[in-house]
Amino acid sequence: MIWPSDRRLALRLADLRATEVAFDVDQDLVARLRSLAIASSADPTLVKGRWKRRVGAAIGAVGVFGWAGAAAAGASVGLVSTGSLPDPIQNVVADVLEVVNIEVPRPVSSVEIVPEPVEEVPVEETPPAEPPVIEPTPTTVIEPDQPEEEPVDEPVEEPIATPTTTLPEESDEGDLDAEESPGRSEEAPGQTGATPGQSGNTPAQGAEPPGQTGNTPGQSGSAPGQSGSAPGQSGSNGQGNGNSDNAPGQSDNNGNGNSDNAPGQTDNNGNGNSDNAPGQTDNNGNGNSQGNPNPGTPPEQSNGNGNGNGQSNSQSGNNGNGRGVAADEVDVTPPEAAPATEDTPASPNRGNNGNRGGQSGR
Amino acid sequence: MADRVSVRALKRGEASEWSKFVGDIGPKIVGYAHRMGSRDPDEVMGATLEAVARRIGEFEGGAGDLRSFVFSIAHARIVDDLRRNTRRSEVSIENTLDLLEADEPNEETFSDPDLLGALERLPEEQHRMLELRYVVGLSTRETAKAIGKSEVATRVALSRAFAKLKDLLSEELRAESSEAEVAS
Repeated sequence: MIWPSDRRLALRLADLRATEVAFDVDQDLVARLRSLAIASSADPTLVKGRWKRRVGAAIGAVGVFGWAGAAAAGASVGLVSTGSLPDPIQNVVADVLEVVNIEVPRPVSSVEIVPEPVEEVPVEETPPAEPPVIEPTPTTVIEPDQPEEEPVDEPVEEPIATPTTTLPEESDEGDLDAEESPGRSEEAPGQTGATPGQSGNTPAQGAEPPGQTGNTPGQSGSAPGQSGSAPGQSGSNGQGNGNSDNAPGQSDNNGNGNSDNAPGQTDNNGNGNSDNAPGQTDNNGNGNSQGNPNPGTPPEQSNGNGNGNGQSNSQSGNNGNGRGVAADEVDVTPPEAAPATEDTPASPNRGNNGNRGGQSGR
Repeated sequence: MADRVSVRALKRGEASEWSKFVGDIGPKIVGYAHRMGSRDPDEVMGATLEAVARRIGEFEGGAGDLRSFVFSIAHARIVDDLRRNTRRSEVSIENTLDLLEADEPNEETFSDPDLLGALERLPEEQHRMLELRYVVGLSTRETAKAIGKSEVATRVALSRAFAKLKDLLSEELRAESSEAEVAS
């Protein structure tokens, strides 16, 4: 009996390969397998390469010096936080980091020693100095019987009170030349514009109210000058302007007074214009007064506007048209300034006279 | 031979490499599937190659590793085919003729009927290892990779399977000799 050895058995097993018959390769199968292989091997390669490139770019963007600097900074922070640096360097770093409210330990030698508190010696207290006395400044006073608010564009015929003020002794810009201020009258060159708000006529404070017919030329202009004087009294800015075109030998006076007061004070503008026909005297007076009682407050708190305008065809025709709009001015004007109003009691009459003249300044 | 197949060329999808690969590994898959009892070895071969092509991008290794990879997939396909044929045999009646034709013995397959009978009497895992190691011609390491065991365990299992096969063949020889003595 012959027992099969291992080698023979292995050969017998290998002979079973003979049953495997080679076959013709199907090209369709090969093409399908190719496409599948390309599709399967494409994505993993791309993804891996993409991540590798990203990581490499991120590392490379910092650079060798960047990484070295970061490492040095980290080491320095560690040393500083533990106080391991030399004393001068530690002190400097502590000073620097103290700016950004980072406390690091300082070297022992540089620690400040807080001295013990010393007993204070009692010092005699001096009484507080008395506050300086400020004299009240005369300001514009408006009569209480005036209408509080009137629209600006109302007709002139309505009785309008012109805020009256006292003339200032000097004006900031009252000494304008004739060329600079065309309101100066040739007849009275020094008077017109000499004081802010005064019209060309000196008798700005005359007994006759401006705007009355037949008065001396310049009376109508005097009233606006009075209103313009209030700013000077209140220490604010004042401007005087007088215009006059007079025929030869006649008196035409234009007066214009403007004043801008500081906030909380009364602002008065006076304006006088006169165009006189030859042989006639026309005086126009315009006075504007505006006052702002409080700084920064809206203008509706106190506005005073006076306007005097007059024309007359007579030989001496003065038409004054005075118009005043006062809003809440009672609160603004201190009661001490009331006598200033009394100097010009004819302020409401100016408006009446102007109405008679039939010419409206507005 | 599969050793000459470039895995990189297969990943790139070169037609010549794929033709060579299919021509080399295809008959082996068909024979392996046939001997393992598959009823449609060609279908197993096609499904195996398609699965290999789908996963070739993830594969890393050489030609030997690729063969292990291919036969591991082929074995899974054979198992699926056997299960499918079992269910079909139980349920389907339409394919009865096909099943009968498939059950007909192949002359080439039964060229060594004693050996094939002994192999079929072995456990499935030992049969599979002997097929891969001695019929297909894989190395012990490649066989181990194909069946998913360590190389040492595969070597021990192979020796046991080989001894078992010898015992089976010896028993058959003893049975034949005794029958011959009785007949004489």
